[in-house]
Amino acid sequence: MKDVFRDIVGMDGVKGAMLLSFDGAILFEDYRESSAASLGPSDREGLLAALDGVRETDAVYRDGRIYIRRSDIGFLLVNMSAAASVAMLRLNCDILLPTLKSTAEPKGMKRFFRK
Amino acid sequence: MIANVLIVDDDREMLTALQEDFAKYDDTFTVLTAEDGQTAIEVLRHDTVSLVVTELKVPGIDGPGVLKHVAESYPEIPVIVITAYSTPEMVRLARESGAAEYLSKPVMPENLAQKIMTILSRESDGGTLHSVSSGIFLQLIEMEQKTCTIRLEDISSGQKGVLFFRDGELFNARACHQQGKSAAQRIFSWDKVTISIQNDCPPVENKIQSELQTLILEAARLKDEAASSDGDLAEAEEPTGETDAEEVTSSVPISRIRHAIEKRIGQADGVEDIYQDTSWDGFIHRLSALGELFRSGPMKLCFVDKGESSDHIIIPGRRTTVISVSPKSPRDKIMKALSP
Repeated sequence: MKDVFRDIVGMDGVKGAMLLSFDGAILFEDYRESSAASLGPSDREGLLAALDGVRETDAVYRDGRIYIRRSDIGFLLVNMSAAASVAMLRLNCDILLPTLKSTAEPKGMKRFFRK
Repeated sequence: MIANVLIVDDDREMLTALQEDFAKYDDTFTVLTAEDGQTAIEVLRHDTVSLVVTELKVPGIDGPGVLKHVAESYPEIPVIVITAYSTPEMVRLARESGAAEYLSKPVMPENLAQKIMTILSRESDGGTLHSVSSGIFLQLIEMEQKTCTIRLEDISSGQKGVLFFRDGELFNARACHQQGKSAAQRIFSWDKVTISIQNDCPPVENKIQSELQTLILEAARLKDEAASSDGDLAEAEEPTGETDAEEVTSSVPISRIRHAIEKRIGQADGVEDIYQDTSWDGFIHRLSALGELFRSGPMKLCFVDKGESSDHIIIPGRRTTVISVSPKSPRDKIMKALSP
């Protein structure tokens, strides 16, 4: 999983990334900065409810930017500086997120029916 | 600084598809197109182009002709050659003619976008400065005897220009279709600019042969003269100066938002509607809380794609404002216009 996100987390201006499953579990987390935020269970629950139906959102703040992208297994949250290239991030997401489907470990009975 | 990328190919469908597909990268580059070599040369003359992508077989002046023209007239512009008729001989010829990359068709748009962005990133390998006054900075380049290519964008008009320095001496300048001293003076008349520094300079002829300080002072004098003769007009236009991003996003009158977008992007902005809608307040509240957690400060605006026929740009405020935009709109440009 870490390999999949290496190109995103390694981008200039990207401070960290998190992959949140649709049921609120943190599937992946990598921050360059030690002052990373911790999303508590209630934060995650509220955020997922707000993101219902959203494919992509890009929020601009006074001191940074947060990009959220829906994938087959959850939402990718990328925290970055205002100067980071969102176009490059979108391109990396276009390339990398489709591979998540195959790299994610299936749960329950599905694991027995893998192709 | 948003770069112009010129794609030259006689396959109109492919040009349209690439233009639409690359719209999502419009905070980094904008696509200009030409279906033949002659049109490509015209575009190069009128626009400040950062990168050319050309098919080798195009009508009129062919790909190698375009390559030769770029190498002679615009040596700082890299060229990516794409072709459906790839042979080792063509690869060799393209490389010898100065092509930065050579790609065989079919080319995946993502791969081409990645090549484009990698090459464009070299334009600012020496750093980028936002909203600065160029004069003092350029004199520092002269004092430190730097060899570099400086690209500038006038913040108020969006005009672009290029300056070529060798060992601190200004060798050439280009802005729109001007070159040499006139282009340098045009560039020096810009008040606030965004500057990208590339740490090398292609071989260019010295078309300036004048002291930098003299040129800067001359540009200031010409500007003062123009300002005094246009005094009345300037006074009439002064109220439009209030479309500053901070004011736009905090006070949020719809007419002001529309004006700010049209001023920066023009009529073809893809904006379908602007209205106030409190149903987004819950969403805004959650994203604002997320911003606080990540210590990003207060939220200025956000873009939302829900897979519907329109996307939305939301501006928080006393009454949340929603800008409904076409999925093909230049969303990054709109967001930048509202929050530079």
